[in-house]
Amino acid sequence: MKPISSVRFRQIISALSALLLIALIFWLGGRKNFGLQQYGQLVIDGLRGGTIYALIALGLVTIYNVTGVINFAQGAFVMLGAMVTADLFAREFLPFSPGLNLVAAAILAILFTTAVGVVMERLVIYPVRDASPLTLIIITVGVYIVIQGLALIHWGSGALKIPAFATFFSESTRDTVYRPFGIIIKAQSLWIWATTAVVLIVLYWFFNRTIYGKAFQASAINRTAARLMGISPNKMSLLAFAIAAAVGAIAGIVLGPVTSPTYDMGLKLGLKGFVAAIVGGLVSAPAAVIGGLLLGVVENVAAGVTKSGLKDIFAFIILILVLLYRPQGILTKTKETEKV
Amino acid sequence: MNRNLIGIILLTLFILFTGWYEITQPEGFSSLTGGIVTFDAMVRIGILTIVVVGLNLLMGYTGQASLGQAAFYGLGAYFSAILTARAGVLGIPETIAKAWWWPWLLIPAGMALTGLFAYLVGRPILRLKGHYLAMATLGLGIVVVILFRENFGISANVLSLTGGSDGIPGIPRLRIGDYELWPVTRYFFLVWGAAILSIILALNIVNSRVGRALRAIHSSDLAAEVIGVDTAIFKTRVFVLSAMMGSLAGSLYAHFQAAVSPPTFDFVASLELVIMAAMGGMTSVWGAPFGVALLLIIRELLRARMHRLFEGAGGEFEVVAFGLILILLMIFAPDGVIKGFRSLITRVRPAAAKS
Amino acid sequence: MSRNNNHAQTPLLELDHVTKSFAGLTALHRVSGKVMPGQIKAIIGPNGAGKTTLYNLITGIYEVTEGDIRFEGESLLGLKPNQIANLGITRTFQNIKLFDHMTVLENVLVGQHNRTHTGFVAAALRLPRSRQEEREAVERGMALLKMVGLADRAHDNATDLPFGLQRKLEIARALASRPKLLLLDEPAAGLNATESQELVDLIRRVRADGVTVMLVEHDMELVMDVADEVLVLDYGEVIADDIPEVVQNDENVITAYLGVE
Repeated sequence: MKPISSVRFRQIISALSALLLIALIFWLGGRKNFGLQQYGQLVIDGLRGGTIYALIALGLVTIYNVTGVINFAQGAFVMLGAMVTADLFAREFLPFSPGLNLVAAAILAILFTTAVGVVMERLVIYPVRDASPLTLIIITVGVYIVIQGLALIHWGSGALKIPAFATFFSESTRDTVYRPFGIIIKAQSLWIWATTAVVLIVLYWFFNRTIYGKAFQASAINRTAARLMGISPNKMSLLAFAIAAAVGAIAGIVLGPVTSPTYDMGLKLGLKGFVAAIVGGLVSAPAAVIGGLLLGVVENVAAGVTKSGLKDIFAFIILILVLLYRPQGILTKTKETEKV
Repeated sequence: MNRNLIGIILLTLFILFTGWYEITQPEGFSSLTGGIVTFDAMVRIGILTIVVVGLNLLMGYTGQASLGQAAFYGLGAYFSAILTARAGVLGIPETIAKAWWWPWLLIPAGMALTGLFAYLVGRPILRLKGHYLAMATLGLGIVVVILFRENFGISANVLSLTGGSDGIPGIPRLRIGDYELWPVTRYFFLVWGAAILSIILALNIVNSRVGRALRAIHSSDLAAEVIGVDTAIFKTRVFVLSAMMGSLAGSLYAHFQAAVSPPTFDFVASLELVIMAAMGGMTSVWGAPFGVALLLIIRELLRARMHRLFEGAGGEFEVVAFGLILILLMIFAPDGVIKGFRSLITRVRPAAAKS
Repeated sequence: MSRNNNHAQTPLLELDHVTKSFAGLTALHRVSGKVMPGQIKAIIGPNGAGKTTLYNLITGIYEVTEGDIRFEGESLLGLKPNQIANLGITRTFQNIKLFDHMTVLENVLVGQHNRTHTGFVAAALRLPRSRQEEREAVERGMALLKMVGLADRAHDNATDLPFGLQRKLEIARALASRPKLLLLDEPAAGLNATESQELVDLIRRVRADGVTVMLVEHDMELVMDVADEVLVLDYGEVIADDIPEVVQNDENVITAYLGVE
């Protein structure tokens, strides 16, 4: 009785509501006299934000897959990446050129954040790995509070500055801006996309071409089986936090020039990262990346045609809708599997 | 005699003593605690106890996570605030809006409306389990607070209901006829009356057919279902109940603070509620007042003592210390301080007996 | 099959060409069978034959892919597990699912859930009628615990009981809902000889009280001893359904079991 008809019915309903939503967006946009150019701009800007979400989601999924922990401190890694880079850059400790200075600062920031992730895992996650999920969540919240508090003590509440990457190739201190078809694209956006692409390629290579990466994937798929095959869950958990921290730091660094980093930037970014991860189904890294991009575009377009203050509301409405209708994520197919 | 009854009597006596001391002694209640726990803080503990009792029923007993409970607290608060302080804007006749019974009427009305809202969103959301439910409630909480901040998406020029980021000031005090429940010494008894009542009702529920069904759901959703418990209905009802308790506390908060603004009900506030519940011990109704008190006391202690430990330490040091204490508590007493303390004693005792 | 038609009564439970597939894999294929009121009916078969899947279909945990399951002549399809429980079908689990952090008595009290009515309001206010109901429920619960020999452990934590007693408690909890049909899933697994014998006695007493019993079990001696009829599943299909003596000598059954062991 139920199976065939209800699935069909659901498909029709979702297709119809999707069409309705698109119609609604164009109608709202029409009231503001939006043309293709405006939509293009919204999509491009959304993709930029979405890329950052994708990187954060990547870290969350990496940790969740291997340890089952939802890491509320992920946003703190992002903040650390940006703040440490800005701080080191301002010290101008390399006298050669601002470009080299920035690269060195960024590398040191990534190393530092990775170390923080590793210390966090060893100190407060690994010792209580068998605790209830809620306990682990609260612990990661505690870590977030501590890191953010230390950041406030060290850097104060003012914003720091990371220069746009492009300024090192030109004389001007302002970011280069391209205008294809009247759409404004900052050079920094290109840097964000390029960096993300490199990160993805490196991670792909690591996970699929190295022994460590393969072991890591195996333990993400089945922790017990992996342990039986001699893969130490201990090392994998550590590796997961290291990767997540490094990727989070990179997200903060590339985002830095377009936002002016502050000590409290991590909370909201971390939450958006969750949404992206959930939209992707929480267990798949590629799906998390697509989830992040999609989230960035949808929230930006929706906010663009309505009210910018409502931007976050769209993100979390998407979260709730995805959880209700596709809790397995938007890319995975539904499967009834044996339980009990 | 029943242990819970003794607990209720002791708590009531303590509250009566606190109120009496504050009223009659010139130095006030806070002097008894070396200035750590002010009388205002006692009122806050009472208000939040109501929310956390509801959260304990939902999370501790039924095992359904909520990271958005502050939203219900906020709905109650904003409902009372808007319909009193903004009554003129809404065109409510002054004879009603200024009547002493009007805010009292709003409290149960707000609870009913919040309950209805919780029912409507709870039905679908509570199908989710574990992390997914936690994330959905988190999203829900954030959406509600953005609605407060953004005046429900209505242009403020058309109709300003929530006052945006500034919130709503000028919420009247409660009174009965001409007898105002203010100064705070009077309001204190109202708040704690409601808190103790919530504790009693929750204790009754826990030790009944309903409470057993809820605990059964926590233990095994499936086993409860095949023994005949309609798990979907029980989950929804306890969700609604916890939301209504949140709303009640919210209304009490609005009339206490005389102003509401979004940050009181945001995601961080929701997290704090969960932390309070976890600190006190979620699987005990009594954990609620202890957890709330503990969190506020740790805060106040840090605020009062931190600068003595470190020269020139400011508010940011308190935050760090708070985070560290939170982590340590969760590592060493994950079931709450009461149980943590108890297990510590049982661990120490046999050792002492041997030696 | 023809045997059952001789009964004048209608079957209590009727499986009508029940098929269940998971993502294309067929776990049960056109399974038919009947359970008559007052019977003890055993379901046997090698591991993976689909016995537990069948239980999950009867109790509404899984959705039937094709076919029908009828209880007292009414279809169970589309009903939720708790609705099916309220019709009078309860079960135990292969891997015991007692409610932890609850006492032995409380477990049996949850078993009486569908026979009691106190809701949130009545419970919160401790209305006289709910207190009365609570007293009666405790009395019945204690009587039930006495019957399975657990009365003296009523206030212990359920999961602190030794394994054999946990099995008994799970049966007591299922009986507390006063079912018409009780589904036991490998109740003898992990029991020693004495405990097994006690279990057989218990099953007989349950039947004597008018409860029909279905029994999934690997212990053949126990099955042949206690069952009135035996249905044999192999690779999701029924290969025999008859009285123990006939099933024991059935060629298909012997091959199926030899093939495994």
